[in-house]
Amino acid sequence: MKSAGGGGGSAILQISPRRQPPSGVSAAEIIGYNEDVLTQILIHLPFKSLGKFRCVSKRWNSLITHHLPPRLYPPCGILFLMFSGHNKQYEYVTLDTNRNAPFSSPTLVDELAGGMYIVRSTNGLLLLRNPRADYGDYYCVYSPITKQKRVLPRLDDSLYNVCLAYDPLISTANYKVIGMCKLVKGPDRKSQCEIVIYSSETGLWRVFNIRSPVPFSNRQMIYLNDAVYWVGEGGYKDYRGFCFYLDGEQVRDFQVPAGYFTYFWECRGRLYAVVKELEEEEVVIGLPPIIRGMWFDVYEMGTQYTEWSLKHNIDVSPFMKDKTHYASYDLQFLFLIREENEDDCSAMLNYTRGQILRYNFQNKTFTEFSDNPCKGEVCLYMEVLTFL
Amino acid sequence: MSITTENNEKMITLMSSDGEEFVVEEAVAAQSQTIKHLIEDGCSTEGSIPLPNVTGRVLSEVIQYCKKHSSSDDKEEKELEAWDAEFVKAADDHVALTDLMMAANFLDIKGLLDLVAQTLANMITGKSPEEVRRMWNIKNDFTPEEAEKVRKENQWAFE
Repeated sequence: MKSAGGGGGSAILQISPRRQPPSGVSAAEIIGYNEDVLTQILIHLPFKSLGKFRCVSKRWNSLITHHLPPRLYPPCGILFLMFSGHNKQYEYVTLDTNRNAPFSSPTLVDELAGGMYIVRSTNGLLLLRNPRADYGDYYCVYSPITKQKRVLPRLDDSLYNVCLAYDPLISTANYKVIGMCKLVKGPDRKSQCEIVIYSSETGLWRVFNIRSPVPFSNRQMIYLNDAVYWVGEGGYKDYRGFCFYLDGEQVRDFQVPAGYFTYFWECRGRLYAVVKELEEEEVVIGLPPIIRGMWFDVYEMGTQYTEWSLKHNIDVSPFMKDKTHYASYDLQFLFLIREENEDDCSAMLNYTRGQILRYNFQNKTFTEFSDNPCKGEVCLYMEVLTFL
Repeated sequence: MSITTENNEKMITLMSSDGEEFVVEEAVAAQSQTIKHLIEDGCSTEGSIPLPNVTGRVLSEVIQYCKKHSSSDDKEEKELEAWDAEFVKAADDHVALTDLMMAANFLDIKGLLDLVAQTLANMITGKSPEEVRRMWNIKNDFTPEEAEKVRKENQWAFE
């Protein structure tokens, strides 16, 4: 089937004979059977209507499930763990106040009541983990919109880092999970690991077959353009970036901008390196270090994946002015959010006790994002309709 | 058949499936990619362009749309939007809109196709599967078991 967006001139004339309206039948009677025209209507429908209309007929069901061009929206909200009394629950806070939450919070609470928590969120799918499983790790992939869940087979080894690879533009129904396991110390004293890959197509885990182990990282792995990126372990200003191509399955390393701490992030198809930089005062033994200055530099990777360019800078001194003693780990980078206009960009940061802050690059202001403190996992959520 | 008016506008004749003829400026008709290609391929010199999939009633509506959209420039965007809204409102019901949609699809007029598709989508958003079937005379070809299964899978959409 042709994608609806394409609607090119010649495509219309290629109405195949079987779709020609039978003579004497009104257009209204054949629309339910004409996929090109039907697709044009369906792409304008909200997700809920699409779910409902899978029940219309077999053809509608198949068209909606497998052949609609994927719709990608920018991230619409943030999900974070909080505690209400003794109950652990996730709160959803929208980024765009004009839009309703794409799913109801109770939906998530039901799913997560069994002790599961969110480990990753990629293009509308969530990767959940149940740490209380009797043996091994127990993961599942969950679509909060359709409430569908797929439990992954258990692994013998624990995963120390994991990434959900899902891009509806590559495949609407298939995803992979990439995990790091079997840690060992390498000759340079940095940790190395084995990579395992789960594919929804086979329903199985398998070990990435390479001769030598892969550099490990406990920092978030970023999925972008069918590859997984991470920053390796290292000391101050001694970081390297690594990339694992899912197609072809190779690992390559590359340079990352130097700094006190480097994070990777992905935004609108581009890779970013957010570098935290500190200026410390003399350290008095037994006391936390006093930081005189702290800032974040945001670098963007070029489209050829060969060089970084400095895009933004966050000076956090105004925010930190009245906070006299703070340590370097008090302020962490969470996400970068960019609107279509490149200048309309903001960063989300996490401050000591779970306060989520939003920094706007244009007017250089900090705003508090949520009243409730976040306790642990935070993820950015993007609304995508996926039938697992 | 190619006529030139006083303003030196090239005119062409379009013929509907029921034999009705419409003489329009080429620039207006060329908003349809299908007609534009037919003109480029020299199909209009021998006489009128036959459009076997479009009735006269629908074709006159399509021409109305094309005329409006070829005479307006970007500055009048707001006015044009209001005109579009009135235009689909005048089409009255889903049968007329569907006819228009099929014609816009066959003639490949992107703006009109989007406009009508959005209107039809708005019309069916809140409807039940049964209502949609009735609207377009679609047969429910699920077995009772299949219907039950697909309904259960999509329970989230009915809540």
